Amino acid sequence: MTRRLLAAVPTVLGVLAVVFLVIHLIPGDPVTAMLGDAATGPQILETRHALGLDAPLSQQFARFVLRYAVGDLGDSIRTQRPVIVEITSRASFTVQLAVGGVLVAVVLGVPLGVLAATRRGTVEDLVVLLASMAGIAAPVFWIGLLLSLVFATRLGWFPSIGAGRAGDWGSVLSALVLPSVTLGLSGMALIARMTRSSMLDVLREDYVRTALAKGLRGFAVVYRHALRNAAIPIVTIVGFNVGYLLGGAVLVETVFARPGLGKLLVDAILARDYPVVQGVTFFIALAFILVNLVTDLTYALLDPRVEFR
Amino acid sequence: MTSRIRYTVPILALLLAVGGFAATGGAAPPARGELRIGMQYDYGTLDPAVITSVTDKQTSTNLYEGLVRYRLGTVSIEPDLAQKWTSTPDGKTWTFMLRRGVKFQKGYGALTAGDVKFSLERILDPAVRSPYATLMQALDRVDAVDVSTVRVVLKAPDPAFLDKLANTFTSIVSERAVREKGAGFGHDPIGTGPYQFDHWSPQQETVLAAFDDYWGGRPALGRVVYVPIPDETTMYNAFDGGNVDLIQITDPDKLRKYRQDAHLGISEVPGLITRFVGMNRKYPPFDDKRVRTAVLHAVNKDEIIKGIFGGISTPAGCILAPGVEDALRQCTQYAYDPAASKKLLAEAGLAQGFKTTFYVPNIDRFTKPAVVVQENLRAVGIDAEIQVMEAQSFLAKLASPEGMPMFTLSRGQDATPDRVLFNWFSTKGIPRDNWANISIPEVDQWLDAAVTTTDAAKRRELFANVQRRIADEAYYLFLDHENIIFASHGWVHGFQSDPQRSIRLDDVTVSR
Amino acid sequence: MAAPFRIRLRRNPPIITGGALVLLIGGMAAAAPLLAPHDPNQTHLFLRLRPPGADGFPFGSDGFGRDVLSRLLYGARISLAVGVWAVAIGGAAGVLLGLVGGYAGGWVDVVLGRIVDVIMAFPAILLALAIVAALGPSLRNSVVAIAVTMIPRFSRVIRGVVLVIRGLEFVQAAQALGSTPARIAVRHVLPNVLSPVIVLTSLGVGTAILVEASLSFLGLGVPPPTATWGSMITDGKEYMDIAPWVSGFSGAFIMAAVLGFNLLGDGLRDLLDPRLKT
Repeated sequence: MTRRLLAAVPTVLGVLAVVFLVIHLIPGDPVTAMLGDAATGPQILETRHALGLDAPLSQQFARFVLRYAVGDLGDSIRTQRPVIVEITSRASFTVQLAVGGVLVAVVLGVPLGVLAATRRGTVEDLVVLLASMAGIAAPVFWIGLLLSLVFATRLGWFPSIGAGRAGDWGSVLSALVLPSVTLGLSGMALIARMTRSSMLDVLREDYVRTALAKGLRGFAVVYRHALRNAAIPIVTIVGFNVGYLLGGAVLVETVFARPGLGKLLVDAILARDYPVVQGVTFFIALAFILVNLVTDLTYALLDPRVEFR
Repeated sequence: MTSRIRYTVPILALLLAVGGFAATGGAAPPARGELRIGMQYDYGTLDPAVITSVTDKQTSTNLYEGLVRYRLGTVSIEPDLAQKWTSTPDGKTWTFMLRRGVKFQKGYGALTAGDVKFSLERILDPAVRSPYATLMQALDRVDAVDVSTVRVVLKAPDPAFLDKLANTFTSIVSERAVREKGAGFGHDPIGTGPYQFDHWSPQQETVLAAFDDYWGGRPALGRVVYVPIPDETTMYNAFDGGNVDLIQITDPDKLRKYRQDAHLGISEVPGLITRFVGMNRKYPPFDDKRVRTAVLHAVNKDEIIKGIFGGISTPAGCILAPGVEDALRQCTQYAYDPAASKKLLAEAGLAQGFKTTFYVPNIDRFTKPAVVVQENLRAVGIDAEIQVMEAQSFLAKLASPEGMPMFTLSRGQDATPDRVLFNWFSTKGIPRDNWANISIPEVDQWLDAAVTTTDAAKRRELFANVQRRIADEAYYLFLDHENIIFASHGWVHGFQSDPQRSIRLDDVTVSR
Repeated sequence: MAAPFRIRLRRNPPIITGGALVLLIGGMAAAAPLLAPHDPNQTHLFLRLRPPGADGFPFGSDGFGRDVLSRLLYGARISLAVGVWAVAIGGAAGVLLGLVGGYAGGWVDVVLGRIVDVIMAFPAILLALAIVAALGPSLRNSVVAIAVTMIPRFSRVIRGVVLVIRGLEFVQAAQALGSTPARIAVRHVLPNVLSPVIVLTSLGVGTAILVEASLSFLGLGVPPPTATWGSMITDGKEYMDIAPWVSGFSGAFIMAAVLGFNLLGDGLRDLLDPRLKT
């Protein structure tokens, strides 16, 4: 386990390097691009110095890493607040969305995958397969717009924007439904497919076929058993899906104007607020790495056949 | 079969439960009602001396008051914090009698002449870096004669003086608060208006709460929430769904749709505002008048105004909106004539066209005409690459020394033309307001003279000269004057649009 | 024993459907100048939001009166161009990294592996966004951004194949006999690498098209007025209730294109090596 954790460290450093480079890849002078207003000479020099842009690159990077290590992600140019505060004040909305998306994806995807596996070769199987392929292929923001049009604008069942009012769980959940379903639909497609193929593998096993031949009574028991075995790869798929979901969250938050990290990132990019762009990118990547680590470990724990390298 | 049911039942239950939550709606709004207003973008600062964007203005309108104000929906001056005033015949000394019993919000004490002195003089303070300092350059000093009498002494008579006092930048702030909070005052303002600053969640909402000790009596609303929604579609969706109660309409299709809904209220008034496309002399080939003229001839102004904004704006005859004093109704017009455009470009040695960057704020009422303008320019060989920028950063870059080669925006105006014409076209306005880098000695002279003379006829003549000359120089394509249209839900009562786009809530109540 | 190629092909609906869709989209893109009834950027401000079939707009007109069909056709060019170029560049880089890492082994492999790990540490859209944020939105930068996200999938698979091949007896024998690494690479490695690369390319283009559409939707793709499917969805979203065809068709086309490439990729995977499991 420690080997895995240690292996993650250079990756994190690499991520920091990429994030660090964001400012340095900008064509032209990043400082004037950022400040833009009637920035005077001394102001530009000051910002340069504050951002550490006047030191050699390696030194800048070292300082950057140290800053980030203690949680100082710089200050937002637009709001003057620390980036870490901008992130923490919004992270919960994205987490809610990610959890909602995973829930929808699993709650819809697993049963559909099971259905398709047990009805292999029939119409239902084909329908599920096609639906999941379509779900993977459809742009998630387009689905979001369609759902918003029907369920929010036309029917008025759910709000079309925002994340509800703090403390009022009813409004929070209500605002979570459409974005979660949107995000979950594409995740559902993937999970349905994976569930189907792993269930198919399990169902092919001899002991299962014997149990099935024994009659109806055995069905429920067999399904539970088969599903449990199929669950291992499913769990890992769900875990690795989180990265996909995090990417999708950026788009879904834009469509539904949820004040989460994704929307923060997009707004910051459009406003050239680079410290925020860097901070959020790093934060999401870090979260992604952590989730992958956890999934890795869970998988290893669940399946005794897997050895720790 | 059984496993299917086993899964479907909990799923249905979950969906029903969540749907049920949707029906219960949000937390109970305060007893007097909450008004949610959709804004195009978040505010930048609420310090009146440095307010620049329209959202700054709209968010602070009901927070502060000035010595005088405009009667709602008009441009005529009426008393506000000053109950009466007199001026000497030479126009250089004004004496204001302040209303008694006016308190500042959040326990910052009573309004005194000292606060007025402080508020006006700080505009000239170089440390404050107010963009309105040049406008107030006529101000010599302010004396607090006694606790409720203020004497303002001007260096030279200023015919637009009262209008300036009705403007947001001369709002009266609490001296004690500003000294205490320093730079933080812009996010923690203290004024005398009916609603006080409660809190700000950046990019999410700005909340004002009722100031119950307001001198004019208990405010009618409990809370006012400003919600920044940069994306137009999301804004209209939010309005349709009842998430916001009041929004500005800038789309004729939406207006038509809302007019047909008897449950909605529409308030429309011609705006003191001009939409335009500008070119910056600092960026060749825009320093060549022939090129600029070519650009103006290339754009099909009529089609844009009628096609995109059918009925919600009036074509610009000259620079200023018709409601502005001394505005010329007609000056040099550049008809849609692509052939003439190409000829001019050829004359300027650019027969093969040229490339430029056209900056546009990411707001529909600018991005839409920008696409058509680009299309029109392409037809005469000019390749204008559109760069869309978020609103606040667009404004910052536009006002920077660097500026932008080509840009589009709209300019709100006052009842008197002084501020706009001066800042916009005088050399002294570079780069903060004079985005085209116009520097014409005659224009400077006319402007300097016009803003200091009290002779109405002379002012009219000088301002007319300025407008004619600027229109002639073809730095700007003046498109139209938008109507200021607000739509509100049936439970909002008493809202009236303001030609100057403030969102005044004087008589607004909410019944839900 | 695997069935003859042609029979496997016929038994393979994904390839046929996928292939058909891809050819259709490709045909649209290639023949856009011939098929498009209007100039895609020509505005007709008095014919805005016309429904499909009206006024010479087979698929209707958008908020500027531009022909939706023409914009879809030219948009296909952008989607395909970005998709293909991004996969070509990213794939080539990934194959190279995989080949070098797998063959060289040792610290070279470790370092290259780490670089790939770092790329994989970002969700694809996030990385593409960050790159475009830095470089600025344009066609070229979209390609670069998406190409980077394509690298890991290629390099990992190729490296795996290289490692397997290296371990094979006859390859080791060839090495012992003095075959140069280059010769071994060409004669033994490349042919075995071809199949997975083809499959990955097809699947990759599908993903790339989705990412490009996402960038365009956010306003960070190719700048206006160029028609791209993603930006068409953005342009049309405010009219969803009164004119759903503006966003509707472009979303459907994105779906069709991605579906086509995904199906094709899946089908190719089954066809080229029926023994391969994923």
